[in-house]
Amino acid sequence: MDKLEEQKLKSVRQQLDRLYREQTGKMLAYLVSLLSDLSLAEEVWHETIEKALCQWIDETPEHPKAWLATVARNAALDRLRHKKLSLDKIRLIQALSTEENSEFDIDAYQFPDQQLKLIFTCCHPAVAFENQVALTLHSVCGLTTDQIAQALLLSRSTLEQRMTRAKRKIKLSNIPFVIPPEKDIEDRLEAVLQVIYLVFSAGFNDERDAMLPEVDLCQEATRLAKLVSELTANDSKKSCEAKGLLALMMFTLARRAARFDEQGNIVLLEQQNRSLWDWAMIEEADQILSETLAQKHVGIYQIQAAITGVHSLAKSSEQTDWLHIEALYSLLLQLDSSPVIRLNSAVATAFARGYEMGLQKISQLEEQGDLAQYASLYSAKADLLRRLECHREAIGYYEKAISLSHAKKEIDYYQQQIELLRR
Amino acid sequence: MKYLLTIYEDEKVWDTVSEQDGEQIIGRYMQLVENLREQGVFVAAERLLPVDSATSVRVRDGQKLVTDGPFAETKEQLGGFFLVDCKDLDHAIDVASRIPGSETGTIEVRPLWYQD
Repeated sequence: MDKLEEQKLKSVRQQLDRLYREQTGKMLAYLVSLLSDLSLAEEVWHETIEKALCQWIDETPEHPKAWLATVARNAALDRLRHKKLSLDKIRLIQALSTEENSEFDIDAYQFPDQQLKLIFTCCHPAVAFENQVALTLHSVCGLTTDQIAQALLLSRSTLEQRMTRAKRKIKLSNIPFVIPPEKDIEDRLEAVLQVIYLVFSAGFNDERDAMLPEVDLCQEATRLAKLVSELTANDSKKSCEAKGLLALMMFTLARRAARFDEQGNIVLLEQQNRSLWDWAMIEEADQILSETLAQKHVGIYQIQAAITGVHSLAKSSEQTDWLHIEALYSLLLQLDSSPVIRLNSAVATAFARGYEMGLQKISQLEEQGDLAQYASLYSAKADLLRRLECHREAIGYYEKAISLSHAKKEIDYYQQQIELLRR
Repeated sequence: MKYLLTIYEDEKVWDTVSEQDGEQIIGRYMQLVENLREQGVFVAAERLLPVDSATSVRVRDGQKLVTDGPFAETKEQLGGFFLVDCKDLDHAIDVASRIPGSETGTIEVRPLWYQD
């Protein structure tokens, strides 16, 4: 292959990679609505990309997106003709066939319902949770198997197994591509938001910042939350929690640059250099949250966003309105009284009403035993004891936290605290 | 598409149920069968005798092995089933959640074997 051709191939590849990422969610949603089969839809979409790779080297079409959409649609129609079909589908094909030779302008269609159906299917509770995450990243976000494996720290073969299992389950057990009925939608939407938040956390807790992985799961999660809130926009009640989650993630993401120092050590919120925060993002998150809270369909993500927002909007750590945060936690506990939330609420009490009172609450939690294996319980206790100048006890709890933590940076941080206390 | 909904429950629960409550539960099962029939979903449903009536059979190397009891000892035992004809999995899940046994035990939803 001569040099010119090689360059051409490279540029076509790059263009197609970009289009694949951008268009996969939408195209799969559209193709599944025709074919009612996710695996088949993917096959058609991948064949289309391959066909483009072969043909675009000679000549890149004037409207690449429309080219892909048209070829994919026609390939789907071809597949349908070979299947036994219901009358509805036959009519659909007849209607679409008349346009077969015309160019299909996919940008003119947003298919909000189809896209939402695809998301609901990927996050169906009958699919194992860890497989929901992989499938959503693959089918809705358009990430490749390699990219997902890298981002989720899984081997390629494990990930492939998960996706195969998930797709097989959807097909064999006949999980429908539908927006769930009214009585189920709240639970199902919650499941979708849970997947999105897990994608975000996986990205945010990732300690490999320095390696600059090519896929930013935090950005993917934000994109998904935006998509879901847009897709549910005509129903404010459903849209509110999606927007709440979006605001929560944006508030958190805005602090990303400040959470490690130059040596890569953890910097706690209290000590963070607030000028490193992304203030434009904080303002945007605040705006989204204010509009959402005004709709008065409060939920756990909106409250958590509000808590994070109080932290983010404080000019300095000393100016943090802890009474406000404590009040928000009381509200949150009414909706979700899980042990981790109770722990965070106890910490808020410590800063709002005194360290002893917070310690007391944490000790109660410790006695109940739900968080016995949770490092943060002991580090929170150690931190308050340090502030009360009970150094020896503090060291003991930091040691306990070290023995339970799996995150290297967290362990380093506790170790540093112990050394400071020993001085 | 046909789904088999198998009902797994701790049989001992039935020992603690009063006669009146027992009749009420049976009544709810009958009602469900009736509803499913009206909706054209019902294919079959049966209740099984307790697991101490079970016999396991295995043939290995042409040798027939017959043993007393179920194949596996578990906390919940197969107590009955519904065979239903549903639109899709969501529909089958909806029917499963209406089976009284789902409130104390577990319903396993399995599609029947089919060829593509």
